[in-house]
Amino acid sequence: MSHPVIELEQLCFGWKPNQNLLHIEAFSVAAGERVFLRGPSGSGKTTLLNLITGIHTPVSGKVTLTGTDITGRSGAWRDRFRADHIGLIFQQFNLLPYLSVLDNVLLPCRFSGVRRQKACERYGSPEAAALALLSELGIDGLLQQPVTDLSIGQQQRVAAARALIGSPEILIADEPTSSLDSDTRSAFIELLISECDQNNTALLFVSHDNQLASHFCRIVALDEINSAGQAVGESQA
Amino acid sequence: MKLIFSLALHSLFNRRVTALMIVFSIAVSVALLVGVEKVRTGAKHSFSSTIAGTDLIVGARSGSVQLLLYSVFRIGSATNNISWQSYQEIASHPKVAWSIPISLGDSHRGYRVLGTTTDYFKHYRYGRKRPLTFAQGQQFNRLHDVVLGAEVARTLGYKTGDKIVIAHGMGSTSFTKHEDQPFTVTGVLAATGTPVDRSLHVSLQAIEAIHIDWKAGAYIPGSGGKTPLDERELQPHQITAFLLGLKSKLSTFQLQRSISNYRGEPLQAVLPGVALQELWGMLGIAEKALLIISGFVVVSGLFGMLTVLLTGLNERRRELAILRSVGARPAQILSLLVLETSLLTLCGILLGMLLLYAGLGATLPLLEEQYGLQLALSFPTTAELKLLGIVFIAGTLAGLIPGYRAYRYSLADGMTVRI
Repeated sequence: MSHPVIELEQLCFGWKPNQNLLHIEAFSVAAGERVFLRGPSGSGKTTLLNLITGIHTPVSGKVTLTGTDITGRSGAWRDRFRADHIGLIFQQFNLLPYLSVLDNVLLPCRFSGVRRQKACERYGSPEAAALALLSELGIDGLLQQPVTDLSIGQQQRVAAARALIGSPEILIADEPTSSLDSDTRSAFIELLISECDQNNTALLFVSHDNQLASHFCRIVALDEINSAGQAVGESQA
Repeated sequence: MKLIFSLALHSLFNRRVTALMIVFSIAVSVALLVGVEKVRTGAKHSFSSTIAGTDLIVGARSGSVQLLLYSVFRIGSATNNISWQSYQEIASHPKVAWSIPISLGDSHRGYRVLGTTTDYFKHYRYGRKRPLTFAQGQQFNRLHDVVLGAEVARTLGYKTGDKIVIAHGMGSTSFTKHEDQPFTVTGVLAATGTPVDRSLHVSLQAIEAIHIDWKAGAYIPGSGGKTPLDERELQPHQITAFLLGLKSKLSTFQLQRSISNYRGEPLQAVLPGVALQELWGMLGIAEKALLIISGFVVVSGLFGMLTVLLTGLNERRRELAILRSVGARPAQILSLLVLETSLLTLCGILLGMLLLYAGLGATLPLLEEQYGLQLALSFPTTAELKLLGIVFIAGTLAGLIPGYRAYRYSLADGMTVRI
């Protein structure tokens, strides 16, 4: 049995010393697992993601990613670790408008040597990896188009290709479908899941939309794992 | 670093209109700064080559700057004159190669009239030991001949053959004129860019002739006797100053000392180079002020760049968050912003130099002719390169301000894409 890629233990976080916004006893995601993390807006989703990705450090507790404890490491170390092991997709506007589709997809390989090496191992070169991912996602005909000419659905698929290039162990998608219409929404999730399966990437899909939960084998509600007493506000947003 | 550089280039190209405006504003300020520096050194050079080839300037004892001002720059007047006898005695010294006597005091419509000999046209040198040349006509031969400087001829519209009247004393509205003895223009000198352009040259005898009926500074007709001019011996009694050229430079100081100790009357001899430097030292304040002002123009150009970049930064928070999410570290975000400003500054400097050289190339002949400013379209001097270096460093350092803000943003925002 492979070890979990995300492990949270006794995680506490608050902006002020006695404030307790988030308290998670235990939460883990196994390698290649697909988890739907459900929570209404304002339930502390963004804060939790910032803790998992190492943007914020917890007040107490431990975050272990791919078997490595990232709490207590320096900011620069966490930055490098994140670039090597985590792919991210946001709600919208994921792409740099001044780079081509291909260059946008290649960015993680430029910033992370680990991702570049993995892409080379599997496809021969980062460019070949990008082209393969883009064609699997059905947008290989758009390479020459300016990013700004793409539809939002197409942009999200480019963002997915970028998050998956170099096969990171973890992919975090934060409401990636909220700006898509319902038809493209399901198609996008199906594509994302099948790509994660191919890359053996664990998917942590965060959304407030329960309709999407049917695509996932494991559904976690943030309220259930968060035992912080009082009503929490998403003070980050 | 190559990646950050390529990102900076792409990002700037994406905002090319704004970037171009920033580059232009820096370019204009750089062109001004280096232009002022060029004109400053050019002016200093032209100034120091106002007179050349002359080893000593001799006049009545006063200050060296004053002597230089009236004998070379035609500004102010002498405290006292030199007797013709003293001049003859010093000019015939065995170590003297040539001498040019100068007699000042009269004017024509605000321009000084200089009484001298034809040696003036033979020995006077300016710039890089360039001799005087004639644009029209020739030197004076007859008593009432006058040779004009280039500016006099141009502004007053004179040509050879014209008749002019010389006024007693200075000022364009002098009440007393030597109307009884009009002069004929026989020659016009080519432009030199020195005070020679603003002078009228007549013979020493002519100066004597027009002052025959003048006694103690007043015109009393008939007081000089009734002898016709051509029967008189118009021997000058006094001159204002004279220029000396020596056979050997080695004897300059020796002769200077012996002139200072001259027993006949109190005289002084100055080295033109030393006196010019002394005078430039006084004018130096204005020149420095000009450089400081253009320095401030550059500073305001850089502030303009900062304003634009800081205003745009808020809209770029999304871009920065995306970069963070794909693995850019805050330090890389900082260097991206610093690289942007240094690229903008560099482009501004290059464009500014291009503008300056194009502008200079177009106006160079005019500057030389009108103002005597000799500027060369040469590779930037060390001093100019130093100025450019300072601008570049200042521009790069200025990038730390938006860079630091972007750094703070990316630490606080993290991956959160804000719209």
